[in-house]
Amino acid sequence: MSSLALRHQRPAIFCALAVLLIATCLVSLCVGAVKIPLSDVLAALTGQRNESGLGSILWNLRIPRVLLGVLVGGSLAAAGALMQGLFRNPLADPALIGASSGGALGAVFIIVLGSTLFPGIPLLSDLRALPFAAFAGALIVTWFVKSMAANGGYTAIATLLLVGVAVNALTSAMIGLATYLATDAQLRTLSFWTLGSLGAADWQVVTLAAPFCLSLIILAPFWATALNALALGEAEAGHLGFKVEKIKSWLILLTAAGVGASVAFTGVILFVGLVVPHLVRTLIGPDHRWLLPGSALLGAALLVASDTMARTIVAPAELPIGILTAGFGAPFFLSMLLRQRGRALWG
Amino acid sequence: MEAGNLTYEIGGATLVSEVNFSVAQGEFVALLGPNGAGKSTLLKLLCGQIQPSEGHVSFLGRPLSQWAPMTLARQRAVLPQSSTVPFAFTSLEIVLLGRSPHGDARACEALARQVMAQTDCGHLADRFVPTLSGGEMQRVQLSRVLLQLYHPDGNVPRCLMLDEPISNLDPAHQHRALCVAKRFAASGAGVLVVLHDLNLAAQYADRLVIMKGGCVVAQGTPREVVTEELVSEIFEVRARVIQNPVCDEPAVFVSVPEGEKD
Repeated sequence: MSSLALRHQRPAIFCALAVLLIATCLVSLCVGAVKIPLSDVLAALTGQRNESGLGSILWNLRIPRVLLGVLVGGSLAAAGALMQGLFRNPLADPALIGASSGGALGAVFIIVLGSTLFPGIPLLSDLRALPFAAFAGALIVTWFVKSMAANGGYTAIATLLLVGVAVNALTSAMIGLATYLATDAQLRTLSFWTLGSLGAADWQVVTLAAPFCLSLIILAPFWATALNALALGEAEAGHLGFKVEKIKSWLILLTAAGVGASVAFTGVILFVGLVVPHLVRTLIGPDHRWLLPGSALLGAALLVASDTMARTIVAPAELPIGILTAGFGAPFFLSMLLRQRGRALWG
Repeated sequence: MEAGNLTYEIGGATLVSEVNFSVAQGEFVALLGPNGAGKSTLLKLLCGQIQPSEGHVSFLGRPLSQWAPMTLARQRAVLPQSSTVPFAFTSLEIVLLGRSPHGDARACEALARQVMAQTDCGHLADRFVPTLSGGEMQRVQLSRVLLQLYHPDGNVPRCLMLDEPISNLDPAHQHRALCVAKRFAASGAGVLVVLHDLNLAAQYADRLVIMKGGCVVAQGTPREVVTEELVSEIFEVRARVIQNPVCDEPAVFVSVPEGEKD
């Protein structure tokens, strides 16, 4: 339960989250297989181009990677907060309910089957088609979950998770099938969908992901008041003058855009969308006007931090980032389940 | 608020059949009837939550469908039967959501506390709603819809619709809530309340409307409706009517019919 005293400190906590994100990004730019002093990082960032190898590592590897981490972490956390508000259930998470897998399915389809089934259409095997395909996949799954919602808009967590189980199974099967058809190069691309990694980051990926992720992060807060009203119930929100069905459709589109693009380039990263909004709620309360941007900030910081750990713990090799987020997130999820057990969770 | 010839059919069952209904400005109307009579369905039809199979609903002479939702929400508030709030909003935050159609929640905190004091939940303002009891939550929700219809200039026509707003309240709070609703009607607004307690309805409402089997079977002033014949027939009970000593309206006492006793 969040504390009321903290809720009155909202602007301060919000600034602290922003500072945390900036600090995390700077640390992430400094550390790695090659250590770069903070002064060099700051010099490079302020435009003093350094022609040494360090500058090249920074500009070609680390900065795009940190930016992708910010985009994806922010999107996943904002998408989590948004889905929890939309499905009126604090346990909804893009990965758990299958939206991420849906996105992965779309992306895998393009990577392997696209060029196999439709070799004549170059667009389908293009990197640029990936976020669109993943967007479509995530959209279909989220829409399906929405239509499964019980009367009154309350979606039982059992329903959410069972849809997730089904879509995840379908995705593994598709990825399994795809591995038979894939070439060696495609195989390497495929492997990261199951574990998640920011390893694919470069400037092209960042520019492709940015419009999708930013549209979620920037536009979602415009629906914050509607999401607050939705917490009362769908009928109640309707009586407060909100066009509930229209709002839900827009929010699902936004979620699918952010989640789809994230999954397309980093694979399925579990639990960010679940843990982050929960933490932010305990800090600054459930008001979506603060929750959505706050979650985006903390999610970005968390993912950049996890990625920094993932590529330093066993350097020069890399751990898939999903191992870290699941390692922290799964126990957290279980503890939430335990705590909510008595509260008609399965109803 | 006016409805003509309302019929609602679903899956071959007729839940509401050819109901004509109106609530005038300044009028307190209580809607009563046995379980499954179609009260809640009628309320949902009247507030536009579900569409009638036949008939029409209008508010201030304009069909409901022609109202922009936000404009309508500034003049008409609906409180459905209680639903849970899944997040730890405070009571005050919930009540202030009532201002969202007006977009002035930030300026209304003092007003919100005032309304909460009227329904006796002022002391709950800083409590998190998941920790409230059913009765406390009902008072918070009632404050929310009252705040939604607050206009500094009292002449704006308004309508308040409440579905069993006192089902979880103790007798003191039941009377308090109905007093607040009554005062709201007296200030010139139309109030429609679904109730179960005939005596409470008789004590506070200007007009009682009784439904059974999807039809309106009786309506009128408490004196016209709360009679031994009508009550025993509609609710299938044995009824005795006396004068309520606190308000001069009729009061009814019931027992199960002779044959059904142990």
